[in-house]
Amino acid sequence: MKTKFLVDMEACGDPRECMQCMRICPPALIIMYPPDYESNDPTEWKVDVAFTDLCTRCNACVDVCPKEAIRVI
Amino acid sequence: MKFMCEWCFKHGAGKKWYLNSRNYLRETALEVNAEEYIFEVWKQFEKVYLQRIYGISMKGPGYKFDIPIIGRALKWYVNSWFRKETPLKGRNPRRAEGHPGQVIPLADAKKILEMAEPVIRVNCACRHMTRGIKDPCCLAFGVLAESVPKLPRYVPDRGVEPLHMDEAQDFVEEMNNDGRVHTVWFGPMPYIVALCSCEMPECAAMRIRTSYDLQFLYKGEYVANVDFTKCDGCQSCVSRCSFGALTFDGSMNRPFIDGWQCFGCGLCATACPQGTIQMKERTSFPALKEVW
Repeated sequence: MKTKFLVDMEACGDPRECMQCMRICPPALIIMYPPDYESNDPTEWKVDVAFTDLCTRCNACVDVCPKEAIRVI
Repeated sequence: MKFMCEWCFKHGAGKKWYLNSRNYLRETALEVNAEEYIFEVWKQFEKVYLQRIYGISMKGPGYKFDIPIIGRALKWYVNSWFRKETPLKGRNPRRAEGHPGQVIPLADAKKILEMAEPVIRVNCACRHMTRGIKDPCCLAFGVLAESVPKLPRYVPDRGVEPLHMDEAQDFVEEMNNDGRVHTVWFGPMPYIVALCSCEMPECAAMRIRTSYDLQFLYKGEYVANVDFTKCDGCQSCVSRCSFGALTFDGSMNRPFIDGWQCFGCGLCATACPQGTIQMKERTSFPALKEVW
């Protein structure tokens, strides 16, 4: 069973102002990045997981997200 | 890799590769176009982990590496990036080509700081990526020290200030006390750009080495060895190992260090009040001398 980390970026908004999911993730799997670091456009900043196979699906990020933007399936 | 560290053989001039002063020189940086290379690595740092290889998304690399045959080929291919030595100029920074690192003990970290110039503290790129925090625990040398001021997210809040050799040595000692693993980095080979203070789980290098066995971070030149006649079983060492190599053997009242798992960081040795744990050359263990 492959894990998928899905974020509704519209609901999330600008992750730089929150970062709670990144801080809480026990194995530090959540990465925050913009497509271009020169860009300061808040709509361009994203959170994502690269090493999804290491996620234990503890759901800490889902529970902590104040915008209910994260789904882990 | 046979019978001695390949990089020491090629780039060590008879010493360990990171103790050869030539690898810190500006001429060496120019030969490999390090300035442009390392700027691009740090600028695009996060994207290295989210890239596609021939159209295949590398999300969940563990799933990809588990695919029969294709998975092994992919892993071989990714590993070939890190050890790439040619062309001297024009290696791909987005694939970290020629940008591997190695675990080193505190004593060697201090020797490195006698040779590197200038040395500045910069925010750890891994912790910034995974936690959004600014922790100025990476020591950047030469062209990396000159590049970082152009990348605001890695500039410490206190600004960029060159460290004196003894300040830098005190700093790595402090990191050692905190349980950080010292690692030294090519950027690109054979030029040396940084001395990092890594820890699990934030450090991307330790992560991909320990979780996927990718050769982005090599095991150190040493292996920890315990002199059982001196050990009094105080257990000061037991919380120090980040690699799962050290457990406490209650029935014998002494630590057990699995040499096959040991990365040679020396954190257990620096915590031992009796000086019981010695770091011995990896090549002095016939069975471990090819285990990097």
